[in-house]
Amino acid sequence: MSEPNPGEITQLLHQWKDGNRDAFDQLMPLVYSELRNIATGLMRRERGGHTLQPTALLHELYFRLVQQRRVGIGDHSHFFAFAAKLMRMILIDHARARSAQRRGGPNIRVPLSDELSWLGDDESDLLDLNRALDRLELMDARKARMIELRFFLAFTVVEIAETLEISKATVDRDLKFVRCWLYRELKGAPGLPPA
Amino acid sequence: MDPGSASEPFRLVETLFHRALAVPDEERESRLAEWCGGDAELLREVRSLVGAFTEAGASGPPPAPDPWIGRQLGHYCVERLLGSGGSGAVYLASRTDGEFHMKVAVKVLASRFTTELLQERFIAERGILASLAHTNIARLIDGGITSAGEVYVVMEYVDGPPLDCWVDQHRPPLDALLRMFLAVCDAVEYAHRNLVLHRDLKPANILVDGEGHPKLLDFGNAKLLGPESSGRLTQLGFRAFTPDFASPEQVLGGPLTAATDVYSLGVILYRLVTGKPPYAFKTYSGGEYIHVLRDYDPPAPSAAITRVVGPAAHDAPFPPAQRRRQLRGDLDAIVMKALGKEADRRYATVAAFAADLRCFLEARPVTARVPTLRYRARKFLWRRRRTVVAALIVAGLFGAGVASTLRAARTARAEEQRANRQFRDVRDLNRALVFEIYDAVQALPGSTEVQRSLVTESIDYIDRLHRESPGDADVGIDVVEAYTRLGNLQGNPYSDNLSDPDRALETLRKALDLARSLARNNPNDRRMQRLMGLAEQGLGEVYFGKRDVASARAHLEEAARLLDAAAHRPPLSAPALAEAASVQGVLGDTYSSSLGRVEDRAKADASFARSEALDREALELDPAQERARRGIAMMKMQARRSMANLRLEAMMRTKLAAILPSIGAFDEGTAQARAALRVYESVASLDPENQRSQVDLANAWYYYAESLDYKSEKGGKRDLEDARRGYGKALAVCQTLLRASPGHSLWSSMAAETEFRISNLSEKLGDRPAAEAAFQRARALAIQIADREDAGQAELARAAVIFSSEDLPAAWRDLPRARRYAARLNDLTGGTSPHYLYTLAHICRLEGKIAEARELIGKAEGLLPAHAPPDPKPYLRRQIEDEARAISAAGGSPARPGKSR
Repeated sequence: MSEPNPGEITQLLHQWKDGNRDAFDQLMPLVYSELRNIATGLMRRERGGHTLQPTALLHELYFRLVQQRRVGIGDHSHFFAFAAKLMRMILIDHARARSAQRRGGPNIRVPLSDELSWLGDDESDLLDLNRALDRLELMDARKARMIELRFFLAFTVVEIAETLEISKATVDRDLKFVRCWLYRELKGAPGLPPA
Repeated sequence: MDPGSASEPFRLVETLFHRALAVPDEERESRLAEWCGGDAELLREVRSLVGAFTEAGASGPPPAPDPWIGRQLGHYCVERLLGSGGSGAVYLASRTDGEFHMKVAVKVLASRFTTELLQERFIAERGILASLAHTNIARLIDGGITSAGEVYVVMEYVDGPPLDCWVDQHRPPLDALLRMFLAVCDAVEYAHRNLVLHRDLKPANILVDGEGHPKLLDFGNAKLLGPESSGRLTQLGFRAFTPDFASPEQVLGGPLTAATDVYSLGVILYRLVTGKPPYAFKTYSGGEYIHVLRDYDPPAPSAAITRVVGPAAHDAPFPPAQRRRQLRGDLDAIVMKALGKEADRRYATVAAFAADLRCFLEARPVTARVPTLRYRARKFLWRRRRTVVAALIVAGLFGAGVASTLRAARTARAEEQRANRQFRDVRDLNRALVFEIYDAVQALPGSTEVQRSLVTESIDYIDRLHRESPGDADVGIDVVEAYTRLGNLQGNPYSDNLSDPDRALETLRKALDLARSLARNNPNDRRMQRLMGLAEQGLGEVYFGKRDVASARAHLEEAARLLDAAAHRPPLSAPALAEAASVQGVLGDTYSSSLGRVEDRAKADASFARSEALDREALELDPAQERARRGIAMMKMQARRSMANLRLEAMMRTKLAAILPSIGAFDEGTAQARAALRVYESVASLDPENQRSQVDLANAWYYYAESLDYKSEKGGKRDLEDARRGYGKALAVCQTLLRASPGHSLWSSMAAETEFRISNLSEKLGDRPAAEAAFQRARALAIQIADREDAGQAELARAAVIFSSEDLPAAWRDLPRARRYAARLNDLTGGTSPHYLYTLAHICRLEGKIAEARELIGKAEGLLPAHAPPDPKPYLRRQIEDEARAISAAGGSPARPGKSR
């Protein structure tokens, strides 16, 4: 994974500190590109390997911004939710491109969490999941947030609980339900004719 | 986005799902039917989800029968799973041929892990193990590849617990424990001599057999070093590790050497002798590893052993006091050397590490102590030679001073005078230490350890000082100040600190308690108020660092109250005002950090403003007050930053609000628009002259109304009325803007569109007079902007729609004018815009020119991008398809011009 140029970001952060609002706008695409790098790493990532996780890289990115004291410690939840959404966009775009071209680009292994181990590795499976998540979002935005953090950033239950500021028990309970809901949405109702 | 918003039916389904799973299987059907009443749809929904649960299981699919169990691999029959991890699974197997019976461990590479890289690693492990024969390394017995191409290795089976569990159970005395650890070191050293780095040393990879022999296993992560690097065991390796035991270079990325394994061994030894790991990770996040491994020095092993009291005392694996004594000094030095953050500070080889441990066991001097001191000295002397020497001298004096003072204080009343004098001396010394020397040391790189020991010793000393002089207010004030200062040094995120928030809270609470008891005796003393305020501020800031925002705010509010009051008791002083300003700034931080709540933003702004006001007061008293000057600059920045973030967030919400209705998500669109509105209204009220705020506000109202308007096709009269009111608000803002810059084309165009919407809604609501009035205004504005030479596409399109509306009485239409605008639009775009072709087709149909309409709509349809069915239909495609249907319907009998719908 290529290291982004930290000097550039620091510089912009400094300009931002000095009240330059344009610097803030320029900073966003830089964070975006770092996220893209992380996403590229995801696409290459082996499943189950105990490697330094993309989550770690994301935390590192955030940590670095905090260390610069240009991002408040309290802004973590917004930052991560934003990152998860962006990551989902990036990965889905990639899957779309791949499925449209029927070639090109590395294979993506999403969801990162093994929780949906029954989900296939094809782009079409991923696009199905994406659509199901869109539907979920309309009915229950928090659960969609949760799934984004879990699957697209490989957050642990504890991290999700911290990020969304809810209890770990709630996360566990919600995940249990959403897992079944997604299974039903994507695999059809067991024992019933597919709707 | 409101994270708590689940739709009502969905929530019901979820509730019933959890309830259904909570009842026994046999009762579930009947209970479900009962709960759902007659709602067959609901019953079906919940039942299918419960079905999914049984099928998909609580954590994925039902565990498929393990294909490895019962299989014959070479001479071995696989019996059961022992464990699985990183790259594969380990099974217990037994050799079955003949009378010979032997249990072995078979490691297989799980099929889903079969990437090339892992296979390579797996095969490498086999090669590595084959080259190693050591009593403390699990032996490689056999290996092979199945007919299906799966690789496996057969290893010695160690029937026993991991090293740390074994030690916790058997509680060996320190020397026995160290000898056992030395056996592990020998195994690792042996591997190193064979050019193998283990790279994943941890207790779970060291099993203890029935005879108490540790056996090292899992070389799955090991690196076989090529002969070209045989001189130095260095290799830039594939990064994989277990965080608790990984070295900084593994986490931060760097060359891995024998010192990497030394470090992991150091962590293991730390864990074995103290019963706890040197680092307690909380989140296991990358940021945390990096932070902890790079910046945090663990306490020495002896310091990590805490007193155990109460019923847990006899459960302790060792007598703490005795163990602490045993560790203090040499063993502390040895472990801390192995745990050096930079590889070159550690033992260069495992052999050197082991040799020092042997020296310790034989009570000979260890090497760890001397080089560390020299190293530290070198580091310190690097930049600030003089300060370091001063610091060390004072630290030395300080220790002696305390001891003699306390002795004196205890001796006799007769010596009271002398003791008092000495007491004062020590107090002065302490002040110097806490307030001056520390600052000097803090500025030095690599001085964390010295800082930590200075802080710990200082706290011990102050504890004693406090105990020895109860009731002395002057000493009390000193003690509170010192506790506050030290607490902040321990873990206040707003200053350079030792990253130990829990100890920081403990120390700061001592400060606060003592300050309160002092204040009880001197209720009107501003010094006491200030002391309490500073302690509260410290507590609030540490809590904020721990992300406990509620506690942080409670303490900071109190701090702000106290410091403000203290600062305003005469005589006024600039530094006191600046202190009060500073706490307001932090309080503002805690409010501005919670996103999405406008009330909090308002509180943040209020705090920042108060902070700035206090700083100004301070500057009026003393124009040279640097802290106040800096504070004002910072508050200005804070307010801007919080405004920029706020705007960005609201902008994102407005964009969502504009998009969501087109995919049918009306409620979500309304919610987003409402949230954006809250933000923009507060921004606009803070800054009413700002045009941008007003435009943002108008847009937010418009999208809010639009989402209700679209929804009203499904919703009811109330949505229509709300939508009309929303457009009215948007219009009012547009009119304000137009008053400021009359004839401005953008605001005129927005106003025209909004009036037109109001007209439509009024018509739907049966309010014809209002509809007509609004339409006349829309018409006038539309003509004014669309007839201009430089009219843009947006203005022309808007006007074309206004003059060809089917939702309003036919008599209000002006088709020739609409056609003129639509034709110009198609000229401007060369007839390539499906949108404008559609607009023209629509006008043609109303004019009764069906053939032309049909041709145009066909062209428009042909220009649309392909649509994949499961995706929601884009709005434009729906409009065009509707129009095409209307044209077909009008087909045989051309609609008369001016016919109402």
